[in-house]
Amino acid sequence: MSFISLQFALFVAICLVVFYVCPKRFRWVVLLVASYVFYAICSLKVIGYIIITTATTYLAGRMIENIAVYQRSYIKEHSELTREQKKEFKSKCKNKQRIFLWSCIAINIGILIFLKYANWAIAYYNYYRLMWFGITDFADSLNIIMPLGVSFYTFQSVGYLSDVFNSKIKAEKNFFKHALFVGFFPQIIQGPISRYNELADSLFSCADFNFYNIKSGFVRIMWGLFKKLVIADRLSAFVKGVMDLREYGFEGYYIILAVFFYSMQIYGDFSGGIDVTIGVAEMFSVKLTENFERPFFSKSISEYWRRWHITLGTWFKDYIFYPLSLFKPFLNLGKWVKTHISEGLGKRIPLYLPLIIVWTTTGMWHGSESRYVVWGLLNLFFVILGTEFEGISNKLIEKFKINVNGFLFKSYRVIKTFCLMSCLRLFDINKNTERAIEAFKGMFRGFDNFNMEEVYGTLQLPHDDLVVVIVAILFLFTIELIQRKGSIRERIFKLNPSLQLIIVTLFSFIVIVFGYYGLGFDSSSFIYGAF
Amino acid sequence: MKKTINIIVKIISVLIAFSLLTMLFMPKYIEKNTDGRITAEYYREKTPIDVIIAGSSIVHAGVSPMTMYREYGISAYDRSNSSQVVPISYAMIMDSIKRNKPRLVVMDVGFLYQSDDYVDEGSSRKSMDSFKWSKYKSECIKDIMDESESYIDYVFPILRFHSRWNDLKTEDIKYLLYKPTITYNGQLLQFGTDGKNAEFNQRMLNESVKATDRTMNYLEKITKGCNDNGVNLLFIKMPVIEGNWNNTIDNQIVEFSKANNINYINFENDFEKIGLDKNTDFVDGQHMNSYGAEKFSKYLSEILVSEYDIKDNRSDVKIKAVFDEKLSRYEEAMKEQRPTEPVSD
Repeated sequence: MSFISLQFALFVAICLVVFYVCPKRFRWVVLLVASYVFYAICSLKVIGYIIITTATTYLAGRMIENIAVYQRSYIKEHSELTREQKKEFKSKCKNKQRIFLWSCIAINIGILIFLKYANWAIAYYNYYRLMWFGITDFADSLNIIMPLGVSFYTFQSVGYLSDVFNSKIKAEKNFFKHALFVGFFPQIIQGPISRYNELADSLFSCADFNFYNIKSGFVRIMWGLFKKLVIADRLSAFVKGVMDLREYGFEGYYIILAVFFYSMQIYGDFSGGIDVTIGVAEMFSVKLTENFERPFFSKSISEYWRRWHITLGTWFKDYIFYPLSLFKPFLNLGKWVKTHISEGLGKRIPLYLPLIIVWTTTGMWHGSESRYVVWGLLNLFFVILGTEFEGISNKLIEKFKINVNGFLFKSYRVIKTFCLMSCLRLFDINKNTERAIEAFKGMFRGFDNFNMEEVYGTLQLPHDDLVVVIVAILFLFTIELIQRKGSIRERIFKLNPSLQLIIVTLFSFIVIVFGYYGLGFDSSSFIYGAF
Repeated sequence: MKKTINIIVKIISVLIAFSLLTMLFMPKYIEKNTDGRITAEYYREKTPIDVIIAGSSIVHAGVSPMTMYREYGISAYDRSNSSQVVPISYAMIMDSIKRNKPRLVVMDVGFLYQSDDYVDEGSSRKSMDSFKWSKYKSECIKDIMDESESYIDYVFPILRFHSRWNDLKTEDIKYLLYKPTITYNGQLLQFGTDGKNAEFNQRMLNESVKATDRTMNYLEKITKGCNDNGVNLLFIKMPVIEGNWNNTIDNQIVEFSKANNINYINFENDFEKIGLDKNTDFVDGQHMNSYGAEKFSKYLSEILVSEYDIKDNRSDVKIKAVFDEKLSRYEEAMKEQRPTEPVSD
């Protein structure tokens, strides 16, 4: 069942009625049942995976919590213990907790790695056996069915466990509430990756019925559908066409346009899907974490990554980067380099080594092909470049007396970041690194071949659709500019009720009419839905 | 109370706006593709219809209910769309029986050569979009949809036709709320004579082609539906110059008719008796023009009156008033040779 289907709309409508008809204390149960029904409809054959993740993280969380409670009560009861003995006891407890933490992480990340990379590993195994030993007896690839949202719920569960381990939160006592936290249906397809302390309250407390939540959620859903159906899906054939037909003269302006449009497509697709997710959750009075904050207005790559797929970025930061930056071997290596080689390099090692791991992992999370690793490391390269040259850049700004807060300079930085990020996406839209590099080179040649008739015909972006998509993109940017001064939905809902109705109805009609869906169009899938 | 009324008014306003939007985007079928109006106009009928003629475009080109009324006082309606598939014919016949209980259903079997996967979404839409909702419509949609279609698109046609946003014409505004009656009880007038270029080849299908099990099942369902409701059923094979027909299918129909005690009249060889001339009475190899339709309809009416005791409605004041108005419009169009429909198969 896709988010973009009337079946899903009907499913949500039925769930909403049952949810608000039910007594308040049972509402979370309705959400749990709805989530598992949804999961069973979408991914019944592999529902076992999410149950394993739920069960293992619940048990591990409880065990970690029990050890912590036992530790506290033991120390309280044994006031005669010396400081050293207490320390030793705490250390033993922490080690036990670590066993549960790492066993559980190993199981869940192991499942994720197996599901995502097993066939990739088999392909490489076959390739190298052939290249090195000439063996043509290839191992068969596995018939793996990817469980819906496996990356998202695994990361969310591991994050939960880590927070319990670090005593940031208390482990959930109720297994079924934990199951709801892991499998809450609106966020299962493509996140956001929620934190327990941010989600639990609204998920389990289930506020009273409030029509504001319904209408606000509805508008958010329509906004998401606008981005997805009116913009993203309208551009997908063009982008694919340019990349597939590049060798046939579709270079220069074609690639520049495709790169720009792909940025719009992936933003519309992903953030549109997240808008639908957040809107549906809002209707159930559940507040989910925002995943995007107008990323195309970022002035640097670091800032961009703080505003794009925010929950994944913060997850990597909190659960991989920070622990790794305190990882003793890295710190020791840094000290050694500082003393024996270079002070500057020594300082950077504890920072950059974790960053390399984070960005390699981020790349691999996006896909098993090497182009994603290259993409991740190129992102890191530009992040580091920005950091390393910040001093020089500041000096130049000072020397030329550039007004950093001026519109022109800000615009330059925003456009520069947008162009850079868009170019890096060539690794995303091309099948391999070589093609991505060729496409990049192609941006600078073949300008004479450009012909709008090819855009309208061969590349399947007819004139009228091009006009619609340009107007829609301008509208999107305008709305995002206005959003900087506060929520537009809140402003609309302060208007006269009849005017609210007219605006919402008209906007819904625009989505219905100009959406790229129906017979002949595949609008049901999301790019990030496969993760 | 005031709040409740306010909410109801708002809901109704949104529904009206949504309906208008849907109406705007649905094809109007007035100035072209006019066979799309046949289903809708059936529901405008205020008088009892004694004879329903089901089939494909060969019927709506070749059977003239106006002639049948003018000559014999028969109230008839062509429920036949272009490329109509057998599930649609079944749905239309059952819908007619439930709404209007005709005395007789005449079904042209000439389209029963279609394979089970034969589907033409455009033609199906013309038949089904204005078909009033019933269990027959619902079952029919499920049966005729191909994999790319979605049932919900038939429930909310705007989801199918929204992509016409850059194809809207003045016709769509002009006929948004009012649509004139353009068919003549389902008949579409044509005056071409390109049949003269066709060579007689009435059974040009390979003998290996036969009516499928699904088709035969539908014939059984149609037969049962008519029997259960006390409605007579007559199978006919319309006269054509070139026909997608063969001995195999013809024998299947003959056997089925005998087994179920249904009359089957094949008009393939009755050109002379009917008075049809391929040079003057056919639009192409398959479809009669309106002159041919007049000749055939007179001939058919004689059979219906003599063998099925179809009554003469010309003495019924109410029916006469309605039909006379239609007849006058029909005769004017015939006189001016004003076509309604570019015929397709």
